[in-house]
Amino acid sequence: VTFEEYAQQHTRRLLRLATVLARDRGTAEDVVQEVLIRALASWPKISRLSHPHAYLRRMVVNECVSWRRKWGRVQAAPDVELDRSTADHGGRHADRDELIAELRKLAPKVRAAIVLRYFEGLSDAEIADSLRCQQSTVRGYIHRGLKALRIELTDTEQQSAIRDLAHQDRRTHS
Amino acid sequence: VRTENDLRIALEHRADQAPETSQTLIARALADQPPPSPVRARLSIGLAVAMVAALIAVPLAVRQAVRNSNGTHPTPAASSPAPSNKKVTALSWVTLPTDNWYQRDMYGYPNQENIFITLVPPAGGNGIVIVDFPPGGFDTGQLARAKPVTVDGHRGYFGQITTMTGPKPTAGLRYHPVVGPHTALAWEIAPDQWVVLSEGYYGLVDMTESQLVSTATSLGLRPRSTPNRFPFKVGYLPGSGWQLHTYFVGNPKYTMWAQISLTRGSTELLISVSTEPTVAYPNGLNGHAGRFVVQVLQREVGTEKPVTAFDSATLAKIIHSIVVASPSYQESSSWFTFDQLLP
Repeated sequence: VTFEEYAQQHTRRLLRLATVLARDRGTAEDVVQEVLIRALASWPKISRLSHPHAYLRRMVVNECVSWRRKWGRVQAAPDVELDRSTADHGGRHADRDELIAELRKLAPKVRAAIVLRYFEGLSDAEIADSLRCQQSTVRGYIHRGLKALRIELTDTEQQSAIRDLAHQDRRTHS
Repeated sequence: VRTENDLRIALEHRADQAPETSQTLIARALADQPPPSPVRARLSIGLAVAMVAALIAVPLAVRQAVRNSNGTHPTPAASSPAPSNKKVTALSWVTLPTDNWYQRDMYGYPNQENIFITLVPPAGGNGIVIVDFPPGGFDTGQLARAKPVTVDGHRGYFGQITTMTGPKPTAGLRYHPVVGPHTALAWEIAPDQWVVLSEGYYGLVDMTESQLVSTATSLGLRPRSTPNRFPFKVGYLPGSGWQLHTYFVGNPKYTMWAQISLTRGSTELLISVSTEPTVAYPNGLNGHAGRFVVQVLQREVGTEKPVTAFDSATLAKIIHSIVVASPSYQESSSWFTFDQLLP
């Protein structure tokens, strides 16, 4: 597959992933732009991989994880906090926005693990490969992330794995 | 109670907000990958210096339609620059000897692909102004008594200029690229891409041909294909139809003042981000973003007269939507491209 063919087919997907991972849409664009430029430079090598997309996905994740460290950006605030009218969101819609806002506050690797699991649907092994860490570390990230986001588990397999971690966590702190 | 499914839905919803820029990103990536060449090698060196020197990107997209066989008397252009809707592409970097130059002003006109820069030496005195024009916008006929010269291997003209027709000025712009009558140098840095160099606003004594050629050579302008960038962006604006101009002034080591001027009808919104304290403006609102001071003010176009087109809650909403690239503006590759500056 040529770079152009790959890019036409997958850039949108990479942008969606970067948008979920990054702080804002502009950063997501910058990240994907950076990844595409670097991927193009090494395309002969990348195109020989069995899963080029997995490689580029990893590049996006790594770039998003390190982006804040490299190019941290600051959000402005007025000096005087004014009375602001609140938009009339439905409860669920508001909570969705709040959930995304809370996701952004997570540590970059924890956020990445959560996004790769719940957005990309990757397994522990695939996430570990993307983040270059142990699978147990991935489970730790997800446990911490879900706890911070106050998510109640419904997936039984996931539940038991994470319950074990939670149990270990409690033992460590007691 | 939040469930995993709520999380999946929220993530999908967020992903649906991804910008529709795939094609642009692909095109830019492809454009940024020419085969290695001596020019590119020089650019890399320039970039390394640039990171130390905190460079300013200069888009130079001048299409010089006017040619003359002997080059001594270029034909005057028939009309003034026409605004272009093409996205700004920075084709050059300015490599500056920062020890010798104190201040930089950079004016950007995203809709017109026009940038000009002023440089002033630390001791004050004569500065220089570098201007580029939108496609077809520069008329070499503006150089009176033009004499062919060579600048860094490129053909050019040395002559005298009275007024460089610049972008349409607005109230947000304190200066105009009007320098004359002064000696000036125009050179074709790449095919159809022209740069004009002359004295700054404070110049009293004409620079000689050799001074201009030597200054032009020392600037190290090089063609470049990555987008021009600006240090902050605005995520919310009331309504639509705003005309955007940008302004940037800074010393690489100490200060930065970046400003977005938005005009619509008789109203101008000025949004500034700076490292220096900013005096409150009537009907304006101040804020902060990390170590930067943020200000939004509203006034009548072409004057300093405050107006109240929007209430303070709207101004606060604008401030809340500002994102400033950091940690420092030296890292200009982390800045925002012009097409990212507005919502």
